[in-house]
Amino acid sequence: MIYIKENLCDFCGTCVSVCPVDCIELFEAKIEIDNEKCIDCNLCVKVCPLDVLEVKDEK
Amino acid sequence: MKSNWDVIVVGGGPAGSMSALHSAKYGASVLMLEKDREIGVPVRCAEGVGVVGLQKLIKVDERWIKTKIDKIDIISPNNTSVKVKFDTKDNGYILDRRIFDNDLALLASQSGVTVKTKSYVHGLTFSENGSVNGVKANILGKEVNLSSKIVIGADGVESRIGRFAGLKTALKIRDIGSSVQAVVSGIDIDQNTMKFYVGEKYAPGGYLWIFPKGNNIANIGLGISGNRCDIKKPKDFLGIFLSKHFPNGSILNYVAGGVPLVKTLDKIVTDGLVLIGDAARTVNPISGGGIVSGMNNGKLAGIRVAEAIKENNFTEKFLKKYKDDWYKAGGKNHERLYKIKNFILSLTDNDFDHIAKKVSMIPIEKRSVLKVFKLAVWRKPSLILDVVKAFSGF
Repeated sequence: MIYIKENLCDFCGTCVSVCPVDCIELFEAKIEIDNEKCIDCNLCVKVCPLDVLEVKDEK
Repeated sequence: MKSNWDVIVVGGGPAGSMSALHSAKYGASVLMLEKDREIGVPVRCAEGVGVVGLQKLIKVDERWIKTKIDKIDIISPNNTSVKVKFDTKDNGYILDRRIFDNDLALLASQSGVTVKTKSYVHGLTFSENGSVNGVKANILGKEVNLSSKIVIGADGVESRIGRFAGLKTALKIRDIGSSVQAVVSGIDIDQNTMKFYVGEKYAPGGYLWIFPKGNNIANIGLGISGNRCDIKKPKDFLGIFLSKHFPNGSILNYVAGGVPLVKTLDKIVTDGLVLIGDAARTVNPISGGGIVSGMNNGKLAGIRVAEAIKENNFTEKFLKKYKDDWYKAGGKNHERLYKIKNFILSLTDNDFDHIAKKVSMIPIEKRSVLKVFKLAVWRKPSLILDVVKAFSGF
């Protein structure tokens, strides 16, 4: 599961642009990941310029 | 506000405003929706443009210009500095995008476009035959469905409008420039030079820039290839650079962003929809510059969209004329630039130092961007022709 450190996020949309399943929703100052749709490819985590996204174990 | 429009433009950046302006100019009723509270803010951009390219598109207002650039300075990993003067007829500007974007939206509104900020589009509506015929939006907190004959997706690098209509816009991670930038004040830099740093320690698979903004202020940032930033992030590289080079500078602004460094998408139109600007991937894949190309692309789209409205034909087949116009105006060249970029991604620090040494042996009056890139592809002569075609005129 992807965890968002929202207080660090700049809402730039870099993660959205690489998401293969379009599961990230970006508002003016809010970002949401639809975990039902997410396929855990972690591309968003890789490309984030600010290290805002983190992979967390579901357990 | 009325709920039926000829054209709805999603996104109020330069490409969106140009498309809106040109659609309205030729008679269409146009609504432009921007998700943020203010047009032009935040500025996720290094703000550099070529003078000639901009002048061809719009009457330039001095208020938009922070500085005029007459040369670039490329610094290789071993600190070899290579200065290249611009052709005197085609210098560069560093813009103030906050004022610039605002003025473009204002010009659009003065041409009859209705502009709304804090207007987030979260879906499209479709007719029975599958053609796009409107948007689902939240305008100042209110959910609305608005109908249109054509939707123009100008929603930037994160574009979802295309995806809502089934177009494949997701970028490969190697094709995104993951970027951060800071506006730094209190630093002593040449006000007419754009500086670029290349190499592993500055920006792997990308470059670091210093673009002067006047009054000892500069936009300093970097972009890294998306597949090279999983361990050390762009923010880490920028932090190291700033603390080493400008430890006493003040940071007036700090933003992140993604740049689509790829050729234009194969499919940028479908029934009732066109994509433009960053959303269509019209950024120069080498420089990452997308203001002028996005504006030009937006203008071409606006003209064809207005024509489509007049002829009452919103089909993909008709709208493809815009795609063809763009291919001739810029898309074809971006294909060449993308090929060259993919080769440049394979260069090592030693290669960069070697190229810098070679260029520095050319007298400064005889250097050009074209010559730099000719030397840069020396290991792959098959690219020389692409370089010549892509950079002639620079």
